[in-house]
Amino acid sequence: MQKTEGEESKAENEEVKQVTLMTSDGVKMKVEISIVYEMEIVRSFIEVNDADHSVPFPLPNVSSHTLDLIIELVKNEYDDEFMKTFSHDELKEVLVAANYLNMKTLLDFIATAIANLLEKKSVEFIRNFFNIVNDFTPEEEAEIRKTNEWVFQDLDED
Amino acid sequence: MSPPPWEALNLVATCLDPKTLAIASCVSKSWFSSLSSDHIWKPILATHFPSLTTLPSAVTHRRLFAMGYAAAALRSKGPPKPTLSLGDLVFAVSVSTSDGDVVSGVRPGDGLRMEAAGVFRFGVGCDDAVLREVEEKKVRVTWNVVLRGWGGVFTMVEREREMGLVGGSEGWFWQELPPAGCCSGAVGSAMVGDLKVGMCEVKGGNGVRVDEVSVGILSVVDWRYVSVEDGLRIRQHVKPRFGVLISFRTEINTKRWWELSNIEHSLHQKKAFFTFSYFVPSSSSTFHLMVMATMVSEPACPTRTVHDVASSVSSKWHSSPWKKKPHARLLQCSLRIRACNNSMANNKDIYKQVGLFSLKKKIEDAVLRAETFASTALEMEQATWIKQEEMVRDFDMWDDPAKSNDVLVKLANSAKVVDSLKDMKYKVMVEEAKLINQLAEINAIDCGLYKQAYEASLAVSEILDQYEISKLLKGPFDLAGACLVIKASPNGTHPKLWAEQLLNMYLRWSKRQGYEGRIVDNCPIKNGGINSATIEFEFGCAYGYLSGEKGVHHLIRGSSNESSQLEVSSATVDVIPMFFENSCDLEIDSEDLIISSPSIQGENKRQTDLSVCIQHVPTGISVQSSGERSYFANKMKALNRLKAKLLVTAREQDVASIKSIQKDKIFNPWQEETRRYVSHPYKLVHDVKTGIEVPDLNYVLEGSIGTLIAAHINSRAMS
Repeated sequence: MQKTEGEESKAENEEVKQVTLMTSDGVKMKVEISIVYEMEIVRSFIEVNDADHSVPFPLPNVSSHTLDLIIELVKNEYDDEFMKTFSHDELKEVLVAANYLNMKTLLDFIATAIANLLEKKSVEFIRNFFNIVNDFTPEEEAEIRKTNEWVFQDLDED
Repeated sequence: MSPPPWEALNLVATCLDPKTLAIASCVSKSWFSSLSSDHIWKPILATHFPSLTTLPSAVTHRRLFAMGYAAAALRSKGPPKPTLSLGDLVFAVSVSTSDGDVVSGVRPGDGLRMEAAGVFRFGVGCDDAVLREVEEKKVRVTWNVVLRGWGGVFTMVEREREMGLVGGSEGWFWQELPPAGCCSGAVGSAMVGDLKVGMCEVKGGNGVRVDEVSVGILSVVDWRYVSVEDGLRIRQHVKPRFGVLISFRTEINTKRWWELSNIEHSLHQKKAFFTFSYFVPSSSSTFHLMVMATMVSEPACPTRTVHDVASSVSSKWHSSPWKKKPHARLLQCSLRIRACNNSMANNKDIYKQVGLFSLKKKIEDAVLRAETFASTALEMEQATWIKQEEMVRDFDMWDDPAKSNDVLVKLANSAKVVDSLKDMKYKVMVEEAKLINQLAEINAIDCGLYKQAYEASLAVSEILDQYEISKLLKGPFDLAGACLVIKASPNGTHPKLWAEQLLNMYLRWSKRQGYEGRIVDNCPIKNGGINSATIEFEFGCAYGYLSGEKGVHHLIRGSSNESSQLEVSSATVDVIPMFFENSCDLEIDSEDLIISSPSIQGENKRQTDLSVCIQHVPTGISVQSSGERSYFANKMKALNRLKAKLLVTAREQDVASIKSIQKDKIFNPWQEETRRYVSHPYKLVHDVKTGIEVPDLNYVLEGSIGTLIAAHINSRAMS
């Protein structure tokens, strides 16, 4: 992880090309070009413009914390162990960010991770996890649960 | 934090396992609609159940997966825990020799000695009866399993073969169990019920006694005893296909009493189920028959019986034609009640003989029947009563006196029925239930208490029987009174005596019904017996009850001159309806009538002078009356009978007017056999029309023809 705020010597970074990204909370971060290339949204912009990499690329939907996590994940080649240290909120933020940045590999990875987390969990757990409001009436819910009766056996504790 | 956008969720969804996916679809409405879509489920279905994907079906893939999953889960799951436990079973074994010696043992399933841990093989201790020591003897063994609470009886083994009755000898008996109820029964169950009898010498005495009987279930596949759990499962699945039960034996004053019950099992949804009980005191040859049934609608399965006496009667039972008729329930219930009544009258010890268990069961049956039946019947009757009352209110009584009278009579009848039903429901039933509760609580064998409960239940059943039968009387003349004419066959003196016996039977019957039958014409002869007699039953429904009695009644008995030939005496019974209020308004052309005063072979000279015989020329029907004190009264009476007879005949031939009655088709009582009363070589009353058989001749001749009458009413209602 590199906080590169204030450092702007282009010559120094000849060997390792870097792109400056600006997160939603106004933090400017220099990120290796290999990592940036995974972010489809940034990559397409860079390829089209091939311009000054020093101009910060704005990412209004990604916080600096999330971006840090993403960079670390990519650097560690998607390490499961590292991911397990994430909180639920962090997971979701990474998911949303990966979706926004259109990072295919990361998306698959994070989706699988979340899927694993949700496995054998109750409906209420999933609702809390994604912060979803239950808009079923009690009768509707009972009916739907009944048609899916086979799944409501041996679930894990939340 | 707000929920993640849909694209992300969709991505997660494709990574979810089917189970979590289904759970997630219950989260909210939008989740449900998106997560139930076929494009998510199709790959899942294709992975798990490829064959189901190709099904051309309107069912969603999510649903298909659920079904496939359920099916797979069911397949992979082991058999469920048996719902029965050993404690639910009572094992009853008996060993009987051809000498009539019997050794039996009854043990609750949880009190059995398990011969090897976890294996369905148990030792059942027997009573200490001493058997005579012989080298080889035909021995019959039965092993029955009774479900606690008399839910069912299963015959595991019922076998007869030779075995040595000497100390240390062992006899093995086995029999394949019937297959589980689901299959046609063509294939065996591959399970064998197995029974071993061990003998041991009696200390210092002659003879042997049964040491122990061990019973078990063997699998034919590997010839091993099955585990206890499997044994219970088998018990669970094998329906009581045919079962013969020797349930309990008690010895009272050195007499041996038996209760044999035979339970036919249910085949598919149609129930065929009946129980016979015979009480056979060894000291006398009479026995009584108890029948209880729900419905018989299929040809009964082959029935096996334990004892010869039982098999002789039951085989007759099975050959009787009405067994296949559905609806036999009422009739059989009433049979049971009558028969019980009889045995009660004969012997006060009946409670001990029957065995308290089955007695309790019978009481419960009666209570159940009353509870389920009485309330609906009461509702129905009350509804008709209210309707009739409304009719009375709306109807101007003064306009049509005849009709208003009719309505009022009906109203009074309904009120009476409602009262009796209510009375029974609220008084007897409550007491009944209490009594039985008490019995169950103290669990004491108190014969007095049982007796009360049993009698109360009998009373309730009788009311219900009468009600049910009265509901079946729907014929056009069924509600009328009846005039019953008995005529002896002209040959010899025996038929005259027989006719007199019949006369007494009907008089006693009406007395049992609480009414008096009035003998109006009687032609006795010198040495006892009668040529003919006419009885009038002036109560409602008498015709409905008695119309089935029309025809020839044969008495079959041993010849009086010691030869082995059987003698048959015959008499006919004819029944004519008697209208109470408004005598039938049938007009008969007086030119069609020949009125005469015949000389009857009577003793009474005066009677001969007054008697009237009327013949209706076009039909040839003739009636006579000689009971009244004046010629005119006799003429009126004869005329009324003639009219009634013409009406009945017109009805029988299904023609609108008496003019269209065909002479050659008129019912002749001599041409139709109604009943045979056999007193030799065995005692039996066989009702030819319904096929019903009652073994106790004297009981019937004492006027207990209720069962036979009920049977006929039932068969009429069915046809």
